[in-house]
Amino acid sequence: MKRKDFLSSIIPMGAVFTNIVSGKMVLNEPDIPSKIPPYLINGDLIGICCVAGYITMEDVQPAVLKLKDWGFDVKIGDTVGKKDFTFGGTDQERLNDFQHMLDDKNIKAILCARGGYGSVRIVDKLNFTQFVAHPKWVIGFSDATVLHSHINRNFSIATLHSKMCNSFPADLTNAEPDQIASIESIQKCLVGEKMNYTTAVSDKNKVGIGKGMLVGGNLKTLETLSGTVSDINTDGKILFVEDTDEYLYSIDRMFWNLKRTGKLDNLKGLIIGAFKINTDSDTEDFGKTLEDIVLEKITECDYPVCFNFPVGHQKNNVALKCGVTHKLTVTNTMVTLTETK
Amino acid sequence: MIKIPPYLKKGDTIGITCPAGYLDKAKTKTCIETLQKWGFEVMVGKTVGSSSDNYFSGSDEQRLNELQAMLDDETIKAILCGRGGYGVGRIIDSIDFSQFKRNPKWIIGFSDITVLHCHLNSKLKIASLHAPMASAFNDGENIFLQSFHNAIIGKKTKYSCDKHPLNKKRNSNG
Repeated sequence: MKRKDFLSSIIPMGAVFTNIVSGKMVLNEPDIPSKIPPYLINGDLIGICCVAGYITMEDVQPAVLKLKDWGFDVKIGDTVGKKDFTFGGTDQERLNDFQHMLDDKNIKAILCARGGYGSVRIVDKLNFTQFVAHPKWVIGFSDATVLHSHINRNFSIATLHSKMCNSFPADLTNAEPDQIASIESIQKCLVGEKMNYTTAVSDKNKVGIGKGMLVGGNLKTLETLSGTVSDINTDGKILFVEDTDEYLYSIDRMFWNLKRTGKLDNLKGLIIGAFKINTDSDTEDFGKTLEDIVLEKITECDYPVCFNFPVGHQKNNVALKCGVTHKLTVTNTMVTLTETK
Repeated sequence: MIKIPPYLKKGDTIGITCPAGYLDKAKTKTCIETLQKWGFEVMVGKTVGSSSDNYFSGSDEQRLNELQAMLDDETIKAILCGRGGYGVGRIIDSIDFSQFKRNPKWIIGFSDITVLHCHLNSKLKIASLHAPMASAFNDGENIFLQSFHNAIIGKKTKYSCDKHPLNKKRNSNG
């Protein structure tokens, strides 16, 4: 019996967390429904901070204006405008800023200013005690997948996978419709609207209907979390993945990681988001497409699969409630993802 | 306890296979000649310099079958991977190690071949050799090839490298 299984068996249901400071214990049963943080109302405060890469004060302004436009107040964290090489401040500064926002009960949601790299350097030092007692929305994607995965696995609290400050255009009125819709979907999620997404059909999709908790994020980040305390459990869930600037061989290796760690075995659905493939390599033709790479891993699985879902490093990147139950319906003529009870 | 495969003697056969990326046959010429000069027989697999038109040295099945055959062939005393690249992770779970476990032999390579080193170490508890592969022999005789030779014939090697100001000074065994 694995240590975590043993611990789960002696801890009553509901006691889904304990010594989180050390980042060592995983006491959560995979099937415990997520706790949904309170949805936001007019006047609620959203904190913005850098857990990973740096951003200038100027570059967060479009997001600040939009959040205020939606009726929220904004608190800009100490790390915004800080720069420690690639990072938005030193590890200690980013840790303190995020910790403060987790603990401040006036802050109802924390928007990661941008991704880049850095969350994993501080995640084990974060103390989630206050957060677990008083959940709030943690918002972001890409490098912030560390937070989605860690929070889902250890605390079963829903989080919001969405665009961050650096993706808010300065003038939204001139933005492309998909980009506007992606930004607006953040507000819809935060105020508790039941979400419903559709996307174009691909002839590589596998038809079917599946219902389960939505989990996922950036594929490379999920791969690097394998075997750690933040490793995601995908059993009985709908998994979505996206990535950018990766070679096909590297994407293949990451999908082998998902397969070999059992993460593709017991899904209720698989959503392949945007994959921007790096082609400037002098290596030979890989000989397989993204679709080949995915489908050859799951020939024995019968859950629905869809490609080109609007999530990832692109303008069309809708907000998704991680940890919340959704229904994925893939037919020959349509693809829908619907939030359910 | 980890099991150490028998070290090689003169006249032993070394198989060369490419379980991952494609390797141009011309790049293996010096490697083969050097191994022969050291007194070994060399058996070159079909995945070396194959007619593959893509990244890999052959289909998953071709790479698997050749590695499997070399693992099972008792006349082959060591398997040198021609090249890394990417590909062992695609076939590792389909390899049957039962014969190899009874008659361990040295598996040699690095980079993508780390998949084999890890798997052999954790699942089979059999030692393997992290070493330069075929193309490295084109660099001429050097301390790296010398260490390769020493390792396969069982000569204990002492390694040293330049000191670094940030090294942490300790002694340990493992």
